Amino acid sequence: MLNNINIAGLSEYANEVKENNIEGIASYGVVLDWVSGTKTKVKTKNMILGNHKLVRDFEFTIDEPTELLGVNSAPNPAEYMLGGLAGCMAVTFMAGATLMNIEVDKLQLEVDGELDLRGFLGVDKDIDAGFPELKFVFNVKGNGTQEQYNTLMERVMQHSPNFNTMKNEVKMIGDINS
Amino acid sequence: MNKVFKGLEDKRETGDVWFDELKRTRDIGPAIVSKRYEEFNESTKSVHAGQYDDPTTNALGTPIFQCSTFMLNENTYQAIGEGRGRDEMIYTRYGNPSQWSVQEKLSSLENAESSIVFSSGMAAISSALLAMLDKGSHIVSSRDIYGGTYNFLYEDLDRYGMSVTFTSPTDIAEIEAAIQEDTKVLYFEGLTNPLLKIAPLEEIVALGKKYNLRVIIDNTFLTPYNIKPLDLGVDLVVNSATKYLNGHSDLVGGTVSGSRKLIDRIWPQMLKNGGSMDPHACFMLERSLKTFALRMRTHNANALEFATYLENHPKIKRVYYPGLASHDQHELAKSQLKGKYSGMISFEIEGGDEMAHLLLKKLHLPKEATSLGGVESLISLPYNTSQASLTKEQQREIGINDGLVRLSVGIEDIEDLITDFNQAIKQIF
Repeated sequence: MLNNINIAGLSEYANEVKENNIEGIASYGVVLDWVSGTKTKVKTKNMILGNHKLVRDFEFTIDEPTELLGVNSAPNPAEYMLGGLAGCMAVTFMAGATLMNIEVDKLQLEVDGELDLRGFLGVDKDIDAGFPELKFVFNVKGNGTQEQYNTLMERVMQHSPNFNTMKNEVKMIGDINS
Repeated sequence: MNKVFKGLEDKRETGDVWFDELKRTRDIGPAIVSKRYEEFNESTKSVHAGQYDDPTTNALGTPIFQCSTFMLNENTYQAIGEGRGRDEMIYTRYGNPSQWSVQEKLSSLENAESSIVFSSGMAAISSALLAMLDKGSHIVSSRDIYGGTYNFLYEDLDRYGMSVTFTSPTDIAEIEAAIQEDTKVLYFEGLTNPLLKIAPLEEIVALGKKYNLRVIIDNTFLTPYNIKPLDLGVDLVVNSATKYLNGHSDLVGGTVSGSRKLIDRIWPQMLKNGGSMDPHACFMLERSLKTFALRMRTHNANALEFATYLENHPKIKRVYYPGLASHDQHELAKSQLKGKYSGMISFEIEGGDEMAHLLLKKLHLPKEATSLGGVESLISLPYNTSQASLTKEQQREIGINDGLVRLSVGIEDIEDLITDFNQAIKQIF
């Protein structure tokens, strides 16, 4: 299979979703437990895809570097967020490359951003706590042309779920139980 | 054959295309020529469905494509590249016309979109379960299942980070109570071995829908002649083809049937596990299936008559058969099986296991052998065969009492079977 992507399966799934929209509805969730200090543990909740449960038996640890009061035992929340963005863009890129008949020998994404922690610390109320901008670079080796890769990157920006979650204003609905 | 990029070749080069435009949709099959005989009845389907008559020689009947591999061409290369290898002839473990032919016949009989034949029932069951379960998954099943399946669930699932809870196969409240957050599959047998308990399929399917689960039913004891679980909303049906489907006690095989979507997920699991069916075995199974409905009619009729005979015999303490009014679930049997109660009977003889063994020795027609579903009657004692891994106390807990005999009623003339039993019982008492 080109790029080890099952494009026939993707075609079948896309057409299934066209016929039966519910099959395209995927619910996700995580549960985070505070461990100690800055360390937390995240478990993935089971998904529902269409009408069926997918068991997601995975967990990972989050921490902060010692300079930011953690014990540096795991990536920090910002890194997981950037990794989630890069992973989603990579999947979209590879499926799209396969669609365009491009054989990819190597794909590496770099995502960089700079936080101004004055926002988190409240030192300056005019400074937003989030990333003001994120830079991403696709390093690709394959048999595609630069023009094809440019098109592909546009497609990724158009269709990658995590990219669009970050780009768009997302309605955040919070609650607290105590 | 239902290509992904048909008519999109130019757009593919420029990149002016996205997934919504891809052409390939799921189809039934695979088949060289799909002949399902959907509007016909069971015997007609058994005879005709799936048969591939060779257009070159006009030979009637599916040839045995006894080859391990196929000559490659542009179509097959393209199919491999696009991930639709199940629809092309590449290598016999992947697919072979002999497999496709018998699979189409099975799909017709099961009212399924797609089927896969395996080298044994356990190959079918283990591949189907591994394909459906995710890491960390839990499955609800029953202790009243075939020993091989029980061993796979009990001994092997935890190696894959999966787990199982065994419940009653009939108590829907108990089944529901066993469902956990990580439960993904409900797995039961349509008619259990050896006590012939009936899994309430409509209620199990409703539980599956309520909790977003998949339901898999082993229908070996009933077969698609007696009930079609897929019609009731079951996701996958598995069979040991060794039993009634082949029916001649001369082949080992298994089947899985369901939607093309789910069967396409089992297919790569089969490729990894092995367990594909050999072309010659496919030929034998397809040939045997031509008399499937004919055989099942006789199995059912013989068993009902024989169960009635046994129930009226003074030396027989108890008979287990869904077609008898004395069966605990006779009302469910009537509504779910609609008068087609299978060819399996279990009964308890006066004098316990000792007399049961003597009975088996004195019978001339039924063969003292494990397995079931053959044209010849087969008889065995569950305590030292299918349930031998349980202690006597554990056997009693699930209802296997002293003197329990399991009989697979064959297609012999019923009066001959009754005469044979009469002479054997007369000799031992």
